[in-house]
Amino acid sequence: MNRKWAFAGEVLFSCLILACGIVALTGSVQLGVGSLSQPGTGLFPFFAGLMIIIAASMAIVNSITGKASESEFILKKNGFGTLAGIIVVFAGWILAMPALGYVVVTFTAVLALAKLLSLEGWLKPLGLSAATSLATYILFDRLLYLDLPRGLLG
Amino acid sequence: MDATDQLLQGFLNLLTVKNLLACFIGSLVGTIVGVLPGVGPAATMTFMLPFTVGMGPETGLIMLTGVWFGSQYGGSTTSILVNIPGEAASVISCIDGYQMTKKGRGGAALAMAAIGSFVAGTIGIVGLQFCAPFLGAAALSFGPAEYLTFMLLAFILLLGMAGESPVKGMVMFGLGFWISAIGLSPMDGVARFSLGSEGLISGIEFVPLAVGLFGVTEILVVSIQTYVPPIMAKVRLRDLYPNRDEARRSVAPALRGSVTGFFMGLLPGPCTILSTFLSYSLEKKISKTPERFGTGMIEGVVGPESANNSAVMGSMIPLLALGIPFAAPSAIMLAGLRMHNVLPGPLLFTDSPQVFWTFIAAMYLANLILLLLNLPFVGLFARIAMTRPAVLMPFVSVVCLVGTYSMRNSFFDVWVMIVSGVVGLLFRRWEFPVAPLIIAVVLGPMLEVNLSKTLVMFDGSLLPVFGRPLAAVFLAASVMVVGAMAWRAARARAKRRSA
Repeated sequence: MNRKWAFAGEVLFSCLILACGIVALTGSVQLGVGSLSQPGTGLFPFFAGLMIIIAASMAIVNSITGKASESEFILKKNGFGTLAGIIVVFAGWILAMPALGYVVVTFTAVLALAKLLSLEGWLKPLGLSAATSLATYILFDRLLYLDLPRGLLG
Repeated sequence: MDATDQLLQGFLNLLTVKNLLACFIGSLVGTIVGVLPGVGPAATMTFMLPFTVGMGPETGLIMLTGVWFGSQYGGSTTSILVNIPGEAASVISCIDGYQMTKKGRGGAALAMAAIGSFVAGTIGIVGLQFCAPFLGAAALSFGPAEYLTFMLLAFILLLGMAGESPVKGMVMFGLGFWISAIGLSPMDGVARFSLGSEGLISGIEFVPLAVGLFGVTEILVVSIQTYVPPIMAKVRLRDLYPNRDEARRSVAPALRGSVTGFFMGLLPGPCTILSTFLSYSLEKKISKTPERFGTGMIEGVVGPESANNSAVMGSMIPLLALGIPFAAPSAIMLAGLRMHNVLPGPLLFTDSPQVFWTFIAAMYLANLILLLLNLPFVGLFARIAMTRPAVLMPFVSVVCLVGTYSMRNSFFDVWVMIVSGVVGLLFRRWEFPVAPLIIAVVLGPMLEVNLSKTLVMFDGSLLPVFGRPLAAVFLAASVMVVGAMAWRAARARAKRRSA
């Protein structure tokens, strides 16, 4: 990522946080701040929102007047693709779980993650998927008695 | 019952197969995960929190204690052998530790670091055992005003230690307080910022948030980066024996590190990290050959490694006596305690002494287990650090997903975890420190309750706070710290201008 993008990204991210502060502040006012002797439900989040707004504004000024934060990441080729893929797998794990059950969904998710992270061949990813899904099933469901979803297949 | 009897009772509580196994597994898993570069104690503890849910308070806490200690021990292995710190508190060990490895003395460095950590851990536990109940008794006189001003002082100190950007630390505190305010108000039960969502009405749970910010962020960071396989030096059992000179030179640094670390642990902020830097500079300053530091001096490894272990014990004192965590791992420990309905604070020592003393006994045992584990199996642990992300990360991802789900059998929590992980990645990229946010989320409700009570008690004015001696001292200290921070910032600005 070049410096111009790094700078724009940092300012944009700080602006996003500033927006969160504004949401917190306006939401608190709607809830009712009350008075100092009779604090309302919104007083504490009001202070939190105020703190975010002040600090985020200062962070924006610092970003504009100072230098952009150096990236500690050495992104690999198609790093953003991998990132998007992982998030999709995580979301898919949640969405498919009620229908397909823990073992099937976890097996598929681990296989997808292993391939996304470039684990070569098919034998190793399949072995890893089987071992992970079974080991975590035994650990959580059988040993720790946590009720994992069975899915429509029972 | 006096302290010795209670400690003995604590050991008796610990001596069940279930508890001993929990202590062993916690220490082992903590070391294994702690060895992985970049994964520090906070991340390791969040990975393990969900596992402790079904174990009951004592066993769950024993396991968490083992995990915390284990991850602290594990961090040094890769620092010394590969020059990659397992966690931030082991950065300093890279300097002389890796140089010793290059000279073929890596085994001795690891062994002395483990022994130093054991000594420091033991000294720290003794300190904790005596200081925490004493401070707890003193804290019984704390009212809302004292708690409020003490928390204010702690937050200001934390901001002062937020590294290069206290402003970003302040942003994170604000965000943390806001997140803690989501859900039902602790004062009147009104739903806040819930957007009509059932999940948000009960508030954002700490565990999904912490697993996201530490665990998922780490998974994403590792997955999108180019993987460079480390070159690891082999360590055999016989390499672990230090020679007589190395053993002799390690004694004093271990003791000095134990003392400095313990007192550093009492301060808010990243005490384990700061204690290692302090210990290293102290060792260098009092050495007759300071110029040799950085070339493989055992004092530069043993001192800091002892200091960071002792700092963990010191940081337990405010956590257990006041219920106020000063660093991210303590905040996660507090969440673990609350999850098991154990409320740390002054009443812990009178209401649930068995929990406190079993906890202390577990610390002694975990410390011993770690010494026994770390010496013979250090080569094995080091090899774990070589595991490729393509193998490790899918497994860790599943542990995060299923662990978070199993807390309340809630997919909403898993969504919270994923979103926190992605936001955590952005925080990491733009250097917003996560620890203040975590601490603020944990302390937010306590701060809100004490703020409201103080305001109502003093009819909306904070001036009567000065009439309460302890609260006035905390306020005065806060003002002094803010003054010192402003003076330091002005001096740095003037220096930059003149340069």
